[in-house]
Amino acid sequence: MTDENKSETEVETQDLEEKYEALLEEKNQEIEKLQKDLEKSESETQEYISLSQRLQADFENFKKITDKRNQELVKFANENVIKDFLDCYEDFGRALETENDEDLRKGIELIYNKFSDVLAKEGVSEIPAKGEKFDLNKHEALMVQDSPDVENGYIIEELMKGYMYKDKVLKYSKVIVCKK
Amino acid sequence: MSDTKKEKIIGIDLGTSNSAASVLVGGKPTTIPSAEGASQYGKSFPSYVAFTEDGQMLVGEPARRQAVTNPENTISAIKRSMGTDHKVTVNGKQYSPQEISAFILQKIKKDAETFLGEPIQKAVITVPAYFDDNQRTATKDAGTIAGLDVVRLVNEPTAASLAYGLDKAEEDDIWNSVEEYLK
Repeated sequence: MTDENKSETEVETQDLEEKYEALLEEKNQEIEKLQKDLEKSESETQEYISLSQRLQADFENFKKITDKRNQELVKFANENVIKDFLDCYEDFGRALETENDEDLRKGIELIYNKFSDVLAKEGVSEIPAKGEKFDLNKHEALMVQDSPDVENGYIIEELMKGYMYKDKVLKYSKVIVCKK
Repeated sequence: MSDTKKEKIIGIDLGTSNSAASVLVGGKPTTIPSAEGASQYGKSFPSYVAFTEDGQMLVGEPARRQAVTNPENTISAIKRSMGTDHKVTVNGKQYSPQEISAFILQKIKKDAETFLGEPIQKAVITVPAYFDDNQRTATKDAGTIAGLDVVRLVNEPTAASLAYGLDKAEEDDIWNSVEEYLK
């Protein structure tokens, strides 16, 4: 191998080394960038996870608070009605103290009327049944019978009273319906 | 995010006397309330379908309330005829047991949509363990007629064991216990 050849090879090797160095540097930078990206994504993921956990916890707390508030509302919603009922209850107590049967009957009649007023005030009303046309939205048919005085599909008799509470049926009235 | 939102699947107990449906809300099974009111002792509603004189169709409590006045056009316990060729004739029109069951499922679907405020497409329906292929196919068909994609039929005892495990163990354990049960 001549000196010239040797130096040429050296130059080539040096070139290759430089290229290799540059490539290595480039790849290192790429790795560094990817690592940074990964770190960023990981921290973002962590952030989202903790956000969702916090939201879940917030939601659970909110639910607990709402449930508690609802329970309180339900617990004391009947306060006024109970006050009115207590009046009637006391009246019954007084009525029971009477010894005269006639007075007792009169007293109970008065209490019954008072009770009806309380219910009416709260929006409870009786569902008319006897003589009305059977309406499945208010009545429940327990039996059918033929009757000469009543038209087909009309109510012959009310077996149990029904009640409305405002615009909602509280209890359907149980009836006997005429069927020819 | 909306793409990854899980579609709700309702669970239906399509019973002989009463039916009910529930759905997981916040990880807890919640019974879907019936719009026309529930049976006396619970949250289910009677499996009754009726057709009134004026052509109105009633399902559940209203149908039961008028049953004695209109027995010819009131159908109950249709589950007993599932998977048979039995046809019910109402106002001159014939209905298969699948169609009648579909009316009940349609009502459940509507109730669920009202309750959840979103459209419901998928459902799981329970069937008695003794139901044969015909009866199972008929139940699935009823779901399809009602516009539901029946993703699975679950045997009633399996559903019961699942429900038992739901608040007692991790999901994997439940499936293990069910697999154990099915062995």
